[in-house]
Parts: sequence; structure tokens; C-alpha cells
Amino acid sequence: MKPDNRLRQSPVQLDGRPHRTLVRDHWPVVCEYADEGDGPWLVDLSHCQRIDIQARPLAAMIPEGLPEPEAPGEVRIQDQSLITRMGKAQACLWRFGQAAAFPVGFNGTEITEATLALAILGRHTFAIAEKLSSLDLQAPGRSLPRLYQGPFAQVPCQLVVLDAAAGREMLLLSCSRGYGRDMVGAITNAGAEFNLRPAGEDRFMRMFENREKGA
Amino acid sequence: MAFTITCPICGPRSGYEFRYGGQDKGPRPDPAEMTPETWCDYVHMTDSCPGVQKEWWYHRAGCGIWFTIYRDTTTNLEVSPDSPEAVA
Repeated sequence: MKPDNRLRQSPVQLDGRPHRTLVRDHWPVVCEYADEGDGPWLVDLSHCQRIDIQARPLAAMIPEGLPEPEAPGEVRIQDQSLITRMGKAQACLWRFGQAAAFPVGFNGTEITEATLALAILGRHTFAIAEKLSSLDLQAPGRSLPRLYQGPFAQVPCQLVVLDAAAGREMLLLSCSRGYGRDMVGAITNAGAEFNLRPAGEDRFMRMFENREKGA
Repeated sequence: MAFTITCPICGPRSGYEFRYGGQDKGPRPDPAEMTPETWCDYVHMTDSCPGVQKEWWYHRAGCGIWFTIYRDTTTNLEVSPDSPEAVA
């Protein structure tokens, strides 16, 4: 029997020239684009593993060693993973880069193939977001990182504000895969005036690791 | 008409993010004592009175939960569950 070398396909293609790519877990990954510029950047993270957890109590389902966000809206970062608490009995795990796979037998529902994941990074990130959503992503008094669930470009999304400090802005976005092309089109159009450029996973990982160290 | 609804998970949001679920009529009639008439009344008959009513809402563009609020149907403003109008 021949080995199955088919590749997964991201729901979106960013309008840039990939400079360095690799294949990880059957997903083609762009590590770096040529001419990424000074930011802001748009990064396709659809290849990153995402797992939906629904349980009561929730703590019983979170893999050992990872922290549990205590209240809806809270987010925890550890070991290149991110956990968002969406409700009383629901959370979502994100695994970035080369983070260790979640344990075999772990009872979450993998939603990686069913959803789109993007990151908007760098200066003007929230100016771009403001053009596409009425959500108050920069509400003062809320600790970061923070999860918001609501419409972005009129699509129900999960939005994670990872950092809002000047020059280190990071916004993660996830929605149903079918909205991918239109979502990227809306973000690209909104970011045109700020010179939004596609960027590879490496740029996201550098910023995420810095954020994790400071978390 | 725009108004704000307070989701217990996400906080105050635009009413356009929600789907109306109808008046909260309390628990279903007891199946042991239910007649076609009582079931029909429970499903189809609403008070439709101007003023404060307890009603169901679904946060379809957000966290996806069903919850109840008290709303004054004449002003579209939420009313605290502890207020005299809501208690009445």
C-alpha cells in the first residue's frame, strides 16, 4: 500500500510570495513571506491544532499540566498552547508551532479542519479591527489576554486579544472555515490603508513566545 | 430599532447579535395532567401585554447561550430582575 501523502488545505491563501515553507502534520505551512514589511501583518494559522472541550466540570477534561481559565472570557497561555474559556462548560485549546501534541485518548473534539484561524499583528491592528467589528476589543480595565465572542466582519468569531501594547499588538481570530475567503478579503481591504502585509508563522511565533514569557 | 441586551457571558451587546426566543412561560405543564388544551395554551398563547416581561434570548453571534432577561416592551430597555416591575 502506498503511503498517503495528501496534504491538508488551508481555507485561505494570502496574497504574498512565500519565501520559506515546510509541511507539518500534513499541513503546508508558510514560515516566512518575501517582503513582509514593517507591519501590520496578517498570518494564516489555520494549520494550528484547535480542540473544542465541553465538560462539566471543565477541569476534568483539560490535559494535565495546562492551566484552567476560571471564568468565561479568560485565557491562559502555557507551553506554546493557549486555552480560552468560552462558557461555563466549554473551552478551546490552541496548539502553536512545535508544541507537544495533546495526549492520546484526550477527549476533546478536533476542529482544526472545520475552522479558519488568523492573526493580525503589529501596529494598527486595532484600527483595522475597529473597521470590521463593533466589539470593544480595547475596553480598559480588562486583563489581557482576553477572549471575545462576537461578530467580526459580520461573522460569528472567537477573538483573542493577546497583547495591546504599542508595537506588540496581537489579535487572534477564529471562525467557520467557509467564511475564509471573504474574511481575508475584508481584513485585507480594511488593512490596505495601513499597509497590511501577509506574514509567515515565524513572525507570529516570535511575538507569541515573547508574550508567553511576559504572561 | 437598536437596543442593548446584557449577555451573562459576554456582557452588554447590540441587540442585533441575539435571536428572540419568546416570552418565558415557566416550566412545561406536567405531562401526567396535561390535556391538548393546556399544551396548546402553553405553546401558542402569550400575554402580549405592553410592559415588563421575562423573555428568552439566544446569543447567536456570540457565545451561543440561551438566557432570560426582563425587558420593558414599551421602551426596549432591560429591567433589573429585582425591580418592582419585574417582580410583579
